[in-house]
Amino acid sequence: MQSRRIRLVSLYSIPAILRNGSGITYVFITFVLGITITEPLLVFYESGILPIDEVLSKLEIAISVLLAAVSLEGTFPDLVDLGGKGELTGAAEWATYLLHQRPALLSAVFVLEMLCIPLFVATGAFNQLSGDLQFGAIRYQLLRVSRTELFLGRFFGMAAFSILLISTLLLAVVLYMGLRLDLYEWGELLAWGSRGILLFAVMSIPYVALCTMISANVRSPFGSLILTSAVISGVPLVSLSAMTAWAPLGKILYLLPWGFQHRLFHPDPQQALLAVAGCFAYTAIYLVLGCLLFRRRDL
Amino acid sequence: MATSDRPSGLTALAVINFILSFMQLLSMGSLLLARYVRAPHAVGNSHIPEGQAAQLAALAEVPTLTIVILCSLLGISGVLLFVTAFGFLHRKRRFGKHATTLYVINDLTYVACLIAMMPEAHIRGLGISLIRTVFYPIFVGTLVHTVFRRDLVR
Repeated sequence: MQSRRIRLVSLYSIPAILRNGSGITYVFITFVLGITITEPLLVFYESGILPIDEVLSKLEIAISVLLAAVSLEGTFPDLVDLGGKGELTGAAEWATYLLHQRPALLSAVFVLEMLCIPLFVATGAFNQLSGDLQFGAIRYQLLRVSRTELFLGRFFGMAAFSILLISTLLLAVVLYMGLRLDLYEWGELLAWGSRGILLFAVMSIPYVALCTMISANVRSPFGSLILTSAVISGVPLVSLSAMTAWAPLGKILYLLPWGFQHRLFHPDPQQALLAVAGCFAYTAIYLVLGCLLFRRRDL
Repeated sequence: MATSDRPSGLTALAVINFILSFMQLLSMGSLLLARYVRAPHAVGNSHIPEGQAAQLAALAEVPTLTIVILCSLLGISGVLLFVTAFGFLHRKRRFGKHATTLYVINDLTYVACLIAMMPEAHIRGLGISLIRTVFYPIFVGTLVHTVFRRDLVR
């Protein structure tokens, strides 16, 4: 295995992503939906429909319930009740940190994007190898590089592309907030924004690795799309609903980084570092598993 | 069956352009509706939230000429998007590449006119969706002149 070849595969794969229908759709969905989901938050404040204090008090309850739910502290209906009464102490402190010690609207955007970006990745990164597998083009590429080099090259190319795309989206939001809203100082906005961009980059990598694993082992791009979307969106849905039947079933959430990715924004730096380590560990697991399966499969 | 040599990215762009061309025409209709139907009735209406009422009141005072300019630009964008979608599918230089350039110029002019001519209350209501409006023409223009520059040659 040569790192030079991996680098070449990843470099050539980036323009190929853009020539591909799935790549165009990825950019379009990420940017258009990414901006659209932040819109209600900002419009409420900007057009004066609600005063900022009222927006923040509603957000505080919503974010604390959400953080408690993904931390598996209870079933969703119970958490909504507790959140309404103000009895979610741990999650409420966390929400207070995000909304009062950091630029609140930007933190709220981060929480929303944290729920959506894994789904965006699923709709964009599903066709890394499956299209070539379906049409047999992969056999021509394997004359020049090994399977491992091709697998890793495609992963690094897609990871770089995803990071660039997500960073551009978040940078646009940060710049918009700085230029249009007179709520926060540029310094705090840029500091929190750049930290957020970095953490989102870390968060997206395991999902790209998961998509690489699936697309290298499913012969049809459509099948790969269905499988990646079903796995990434299905795991939290199954986990949170199974929890109502039997609490330990909630641990299904840890099959993907859903279970700990929100800790990237934890006020305790140790927790945040553990979450970063978790993201890299999951990436390594998906890559090793995917590569082993891809090397053994009949092409 | 003959396989097409058109990159799937161009097909995806064509589909997106068809959808957006329809949406541009809808936006044109909604602007007319907001200015001439909703805005005059919103002034002094206590059922509408304060912020939204301010936006509609500001819209009621926009001169007809401004509305005509903005609607024309939206309409032209809609037609150009439809033409470019056709151009992408058939890999035409004139309808694909050149019409996209015209669309980019037209859409950016629309955003500039919107910011310059519409009242501040209305712009504030549009919020971050302005970024989304600017994003697509820049994205499609860049792709057509870089990634797909050798594909639109017929």
